[in-house]
Amino acid sequence: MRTYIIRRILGSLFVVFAVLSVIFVLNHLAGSPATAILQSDATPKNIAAMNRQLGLDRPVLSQYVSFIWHAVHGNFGKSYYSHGDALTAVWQRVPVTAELAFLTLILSTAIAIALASLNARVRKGWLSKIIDVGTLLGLSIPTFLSGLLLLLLFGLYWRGILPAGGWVFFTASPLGNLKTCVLPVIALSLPTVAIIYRSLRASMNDVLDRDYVSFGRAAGFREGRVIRSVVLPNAILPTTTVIGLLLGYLLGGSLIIETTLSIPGLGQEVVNALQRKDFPIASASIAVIAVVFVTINLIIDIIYAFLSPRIRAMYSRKIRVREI
Amino acid sequence: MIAPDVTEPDVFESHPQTTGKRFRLNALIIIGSVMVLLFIAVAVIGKIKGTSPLTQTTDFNGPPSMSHWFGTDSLGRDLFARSAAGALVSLQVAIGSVVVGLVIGVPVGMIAGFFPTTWLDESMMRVVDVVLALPLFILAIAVLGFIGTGPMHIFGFQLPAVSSVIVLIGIAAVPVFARVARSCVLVEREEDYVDALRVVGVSRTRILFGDVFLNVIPPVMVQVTAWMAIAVFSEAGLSYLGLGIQPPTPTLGNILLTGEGGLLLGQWWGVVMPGILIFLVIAGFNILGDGIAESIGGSAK
Repeated sequence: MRTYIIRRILGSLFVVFAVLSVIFVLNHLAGSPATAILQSDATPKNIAAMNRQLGLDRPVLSQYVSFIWHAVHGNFGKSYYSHGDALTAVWQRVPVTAELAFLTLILSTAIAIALASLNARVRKGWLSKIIDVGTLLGLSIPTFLSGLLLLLLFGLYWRGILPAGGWVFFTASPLGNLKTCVLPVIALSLPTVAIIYRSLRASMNDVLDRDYVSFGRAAGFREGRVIRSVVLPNAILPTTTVIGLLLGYLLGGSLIIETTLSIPGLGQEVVNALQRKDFPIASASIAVIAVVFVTINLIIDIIYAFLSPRIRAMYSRKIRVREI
Repeated sequence: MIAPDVTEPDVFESHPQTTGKRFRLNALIIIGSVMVLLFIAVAVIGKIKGTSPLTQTTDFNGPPSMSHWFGTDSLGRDLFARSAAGALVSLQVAIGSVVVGLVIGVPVGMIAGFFPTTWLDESMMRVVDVVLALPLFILAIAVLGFIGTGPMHIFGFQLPAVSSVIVLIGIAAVPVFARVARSCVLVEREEDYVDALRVVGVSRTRILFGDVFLNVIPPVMVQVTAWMAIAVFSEAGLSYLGLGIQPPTPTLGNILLTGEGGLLLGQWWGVVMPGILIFLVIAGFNILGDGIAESIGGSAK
C-alpha cells in the first residue's frame, strides 16, 4: 500500500513538473514580452534593456532552470497590466471557481444517483431509454451554448427572476451569492450529470446481476430497498474514478461559463490573461489549475486504493499493477 | 461450425471470425448517422448556394427569412452562409484531428499491446499516463493563447490556420487511441487464432496488422465518434473564447461570439441558429458512438 501511495505521489510530482516545463516552452515560443510591457516606450534600446532585466539574454537552459526554480517557489513574475504578483492575483480567483465546482459536483451527483436508481428499477423499459437519451443530449450541449441560452432566457425573456451573470460574494450576501450561482451551476451540471449517470448505470447493471441482489429480493425486500441499500452502495465505488474526468470537464467548462456570465473566477482570469497576452498571469493560472487537478486526482486515487481490495491486494503481494 | 453466441456478446470473449457478422445496425446508429448527415448537408448546401460568408449587405441584424434562412449578423452577413462555412471548418477539424490521432496512436498502441512488458510498452504507457493526467482543453487553450493561431510553417510549406488547431486536437487524441488499441490487442493476442497463424508460419507483423487489426477496428470506432464530438466541441469552444481560428474565417465558435453581442437585444438567431448546428453534430456523434458500442457489445465510455 505504501509503495502504491509513494508511486502515485512521485507520478503526480512528475506531471506537475511536466506542466511547468510546457509552460516554460510556451513562454519561450511566444517570444519576448518586452514590446507588450513597454508599449509606447518600445525603442530597440529599451527592449534590449528589458530583455536583460527579464533574463531573456541568458542561455535557454539557464532560463529554464531559473523558471522552474522560481515557479516551485510560487514566483511567476508580475502582471504586465496590474503589476501585482501573478500568483497572488490568480490565487484570489480560486474560491469562486471552487464554489461553482463544488456546488456542481453535489448537485449533479444527487441527480445522477436519482436517475440511475430510477433506471435500475425500470431496466430496459421506455422510461430508461428516455433517461439514457436525455442525459446523452445533456452531454452534447457545449457549455458555451447552454450558457448563452441561459443568458438569453434569464437576461431577456424572464428578466428579474435570477441574475443572468455577474457575481455576488458570499461575504457580501449569502443569498445573493447563491442566486448568482444558479445559472452557471445549471450549465456546468448538464454534462457532469451525464458523466456520473453513465458510469453509475454501467456499474449498477453489473451489480444487478449478482447473486446477492437476487438474495435480497428473495429475502423479501422491496425492489426500492434492494436498490437503495444493496445495489447502490456496491455500485458507487467504481464511479469515484470518473471524478478525475469530471474535474477536467468542470475546469474547462468554468473557463467558458465564467467568460459568458462574467464571473470573476479562475477561468475568466485564464481567458483574459491569454487574450491580453499577460503571460505571467496566464502561466500562474495554468500552473494552479494543473496543481489543483493533479492533487485532487491523487487524493481520489489514494482513497480509492484504500477502499478497493483489488489494488490493496496487488501491492501487498508485491505484484505490479498493470492496467488492461 | 457452432453458431456464434449472440445473446451475450462480450468484448473480452470475442470470437474474431464472427466480429464482422455480429455488427448490426440499431436505432441509435441510424439516428446518429442522420444527425451527422444533416450537419454535413448544411455544409454542402451552403457551398452549393454560393452565398459568400463574408459579403456584407445593408440588411443588418435581420431575423431569419426566406432570403436569409438563419438571419443576418451585425455586419449584414448571411448567417446561413457563415454557419455552413463554419460547419465545414468543424468537419475538417473533426476528421483531421481523428486522422492525426489514428495514424500515430493506433500503430503505437497496437505494437505496445502486442509486446507488453517491453521497454517500448513501458515508456509508451508512461507518456500516455502523463498526457491523460492533464486537463487537455486547458492545455489546448494555453498553447493557442501563448503561440496564437497564425498560418503554420512546416518544411517551407505554409498551412492554413485551421491546421494548427487540427494538429493540436489531433495530438491530444493520440494517447486516447493508443490506449484503446493497446488494451484491445492485449486481449486479442491471447486468442487461439493468433497462435494458429504463428504455427502455420505467418509473420508476427502480418498477424498484428492483418487479423488482429481487423478486431481492433470496432472499439477504436467508438473512440473515433467520441473524439469527433470532442474535436467539434473544442474547436468551437476555442474560437468562442477568441483563442482559436480567427475571424474573418467563420467557425461556429466565432459566429457565436459575434452573436453574443446582439443576444440581449433580442437577436436570438445569431446564437440559436449556429447553436442548433453545433448541438446537432455533437449529439449525432455521441449517439452514433453509443449505437456502435451497443452493436459490438462493449459498454460505452
